[in-house]
Amino acid sequence: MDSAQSRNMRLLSNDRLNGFGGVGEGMAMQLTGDGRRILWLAHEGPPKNFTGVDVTDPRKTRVICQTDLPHQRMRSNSLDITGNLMVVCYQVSKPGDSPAGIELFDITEPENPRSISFFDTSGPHSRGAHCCWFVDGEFVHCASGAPDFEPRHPRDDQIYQIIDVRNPSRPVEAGRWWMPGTRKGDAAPPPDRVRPMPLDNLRGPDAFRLHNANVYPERPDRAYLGYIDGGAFILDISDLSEPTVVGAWNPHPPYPGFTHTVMPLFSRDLLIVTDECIQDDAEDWPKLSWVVDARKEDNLVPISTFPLPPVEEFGHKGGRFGSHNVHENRPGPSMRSETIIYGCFFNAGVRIYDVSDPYRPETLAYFVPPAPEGSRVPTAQMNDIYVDERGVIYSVDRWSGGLYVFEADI
Amino acid sequence: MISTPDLFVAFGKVRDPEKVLAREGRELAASGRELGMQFALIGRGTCAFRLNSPGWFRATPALIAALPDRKGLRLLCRDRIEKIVPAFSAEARRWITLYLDQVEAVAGKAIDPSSNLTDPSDCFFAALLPLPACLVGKLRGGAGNLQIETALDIVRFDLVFWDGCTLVAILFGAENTTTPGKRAAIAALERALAPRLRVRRIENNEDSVSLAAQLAAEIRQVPAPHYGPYRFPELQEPLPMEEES
Repeated sequence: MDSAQSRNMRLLSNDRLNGFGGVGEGMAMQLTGDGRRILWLAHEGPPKNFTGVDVTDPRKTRVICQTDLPHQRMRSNSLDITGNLMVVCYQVSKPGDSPAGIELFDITEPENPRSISFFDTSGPHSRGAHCCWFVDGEFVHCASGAPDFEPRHPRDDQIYQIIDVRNPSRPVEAGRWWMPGTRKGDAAPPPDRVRPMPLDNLRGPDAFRLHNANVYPERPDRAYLGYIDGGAFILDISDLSEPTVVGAWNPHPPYPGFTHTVMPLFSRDLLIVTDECIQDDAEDWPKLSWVVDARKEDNLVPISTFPLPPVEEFGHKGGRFGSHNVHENRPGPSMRSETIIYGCFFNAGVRIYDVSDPYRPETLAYFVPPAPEGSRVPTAQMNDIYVDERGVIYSVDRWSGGLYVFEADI
Repeated sequence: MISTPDLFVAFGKVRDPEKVLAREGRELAASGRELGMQFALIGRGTCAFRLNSPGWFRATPALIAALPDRKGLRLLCRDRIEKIVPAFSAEARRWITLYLDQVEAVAGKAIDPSSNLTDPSDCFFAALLPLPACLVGKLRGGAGNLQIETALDIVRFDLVFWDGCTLVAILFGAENTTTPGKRAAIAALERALAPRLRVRRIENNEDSVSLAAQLAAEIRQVPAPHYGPYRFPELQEPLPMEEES
């Protein structure tokens, strides 16, 4: 990778995933009974559903499983794993289509994932599930439409749903929450649109719907939600059937929308809140990663943002430029630092920050790969990131580059 | 000071230890003292840092005299320790509270019958001093020309205790909360300071309670201090109170 830009990071390997190198935002690691380390990836779009990569030797990765979607008008985008149980999201292009929802797989034998059940969230106003979180082996926290949920605005269809999978062959809904005012019939008024967009494409901006819902073993009574144009929410989920808001913060407007992830740093009473860049050529710049003071969870205060490379250098290189996913400190074979944050920033690559002083985050390392062959845009678009407990860093390209494996001198 | 210090601990709201060395560390070394408000020097023979060690906060005779009772002094001490903890060190703050509660519980039972202390709870002040949010590194040069050793990385710990022999350095979280680079830096520091650095990890509530109890129980080994808390002989004039920012 001669034309890569880097500081304190080295590329160990790049796996183009058998020519299907477009990966979404589902990355999770399985430790198998026979001592292997399998990284599971959900694809950005059809024809592929998910891919399992043996990363036991991070310098010599190997695809061991790759599956297809049932049709071209859907995507998986997100998956998650606890033990040998994997959850995969299905989102369709048009409300009413199917299959839409989540599918559970037994991956005890990773070369042959076995479908256990399907939780159907299709409906006349639903595009199904976009993103899921599954770390306790009991409940899936996901962003999904529902058969009986009618949003006031078609882009506000994916709400917070908690799915009980304690019996994996019979998943059942345990609870749900949506931002008041977004459902048809709500007493609350509809939210003002941040940046109204035409409805010819339901994907993308101008949405008050859930993206990520993170729930950690340190606080099983809290869900941390990135609600796109609705901002960040902290919910009390001690009663799963009745989530209630305990804290909220929203920089949109004046900032241009799309809160993506809300990650708590429990030992420090901080939140890392990321926006997602969703338009090429810096159309929606700046998309930031925020450090938020959460000492009082009912009074969240932003205190800094991560430094980004210059917009004049990256804004018009091609593709998206700005924040997206961070490594989410999930339990399992995962790095769980509360001072070092690993993020992916589309054409600005993978970047690592030190937030020891949360008022002044510092860039420790970065790697910006060159544009992969076959990409729709002239840059790499680093879309998601996972860091294992050894400190090995995995990131994926949105369009064609596949899996990149790094190590960092930090 | 028994020997030239070769180890430093910068603690509290410190970002750059060089700045604190320049502001406080060199003055400590020049005056033969070891413990300041944000910086500590350690050499062979350095006594344990205890709650009643002079230097880590400025307690004027007038301030202490104005306290209503002995309990007031303990509360003042606790308050001052809490003020050292940076705002976003919630876990350290919780653990220090747990530790000091343990110290309070042990103190009443630790009195040496031959001591001239009037209140058994004074043993509280003999407890080891927790230094939160620490940067630990090696020093080189003599007392008049102390420099931070740049051949070794400076390592950040959540808490540190100095017991006179060993620097007990505490990290919250399991191994996977620490990057490979930091793990290597810790290992290098351990080698360089062997056997004076002992790293302890608090991974769960059980570790937390047990380490707090173990460190609190250390006061049972301490003979009664020969001076009262914070009344050290070299302090002749009242010092201005530190402005809290």
